[in-house]
Amino acid sequence: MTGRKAEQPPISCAECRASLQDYLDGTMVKTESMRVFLHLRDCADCEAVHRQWQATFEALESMPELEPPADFDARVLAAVPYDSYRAMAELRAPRVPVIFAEESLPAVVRSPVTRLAGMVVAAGAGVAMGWFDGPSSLAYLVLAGLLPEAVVRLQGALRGAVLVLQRDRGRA
Amino acid sequence: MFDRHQDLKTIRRCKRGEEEAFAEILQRYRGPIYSLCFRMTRNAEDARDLAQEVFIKVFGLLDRFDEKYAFSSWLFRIATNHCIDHLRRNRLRFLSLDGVAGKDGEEYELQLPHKGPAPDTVLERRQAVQRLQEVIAELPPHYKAVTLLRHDRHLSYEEIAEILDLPLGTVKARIHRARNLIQQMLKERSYDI
Repeated sequence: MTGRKAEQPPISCAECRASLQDYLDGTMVKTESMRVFLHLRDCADCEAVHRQWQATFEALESMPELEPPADFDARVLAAVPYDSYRAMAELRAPRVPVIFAEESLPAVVRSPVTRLAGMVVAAGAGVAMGWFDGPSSLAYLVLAGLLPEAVVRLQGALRGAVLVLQRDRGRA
Repeated sequence: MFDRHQDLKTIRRCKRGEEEAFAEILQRYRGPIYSLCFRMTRNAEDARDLAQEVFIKVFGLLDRFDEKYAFSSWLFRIATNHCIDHLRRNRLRFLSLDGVAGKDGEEYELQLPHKGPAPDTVLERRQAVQRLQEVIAELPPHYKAVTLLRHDRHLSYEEIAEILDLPLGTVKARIHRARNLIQQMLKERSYDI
């Protein structure tokens, strides 16, 4: 391994000057940039042109950011159609079939009181059946007690699945 | 330079009608857009009106914003086109490509931030910036736009090409031509920067 690269031929003054903008922009490939650098090192005339360009670039880069007047925001923010965006957001909101909407279940079924009472009844019936050897018809009471909670949970799971499917389809 | 991901999150909040989100976008971009408009027009009142119109337009069209692109690119595209239209409508004097136009009559006093160097350096720098802005103001609108996007906004050639919807080669050629014109004008006026 020699570690020595083939030497590039030197560039002319015309080539050097034509490359100065790219050189200062930093958009040249490294080998080309090096050739310009070497030419500038050895050519006082081109170096003078380079300094001139450098000053222009530095001045261009040093333009300060300006701030608009203090009352700038008020006119802009007063003109934003917030209500339209809110209305559109509602329309864009993901929708599920009516059967999966919470409201499709009667309020009495969805009520936490009903669901809790159902669970208590189911637990009571289960205990009566198991510990006190109650009639097997109590099994119906267990099922009836669990029904509101089961229906609400099943509907919630199906609604979630539909929303996930809709979101995936939207991304695709 | 601008956080594309952060912008996208804020734009989505805007689309839900959240007032704070619009204020955030304004806070983030009012300086850059106002600076661009001022340097395109060299008139504080026009710059304020143009920049406000740009934001009003953009805030009314967010549903048309394509999230595949950077919001900043879209915003700068609208601002640049708006300024170019304004300059054309008002037929402001700008440099002919065949020669250098004379000095514009209007003078502007820019409020430059004090960054600490000696007063002489500050004064020289201020004069250099004023001279430069004077010649930039006389460039044709398309040359002015690419120069400002490149040097004032520090955007890459690729970003400028996306903003102006131009081929990369055209952008590069315009920027080179604009800089040549700037140097030519500086020389003709014996401006030392």
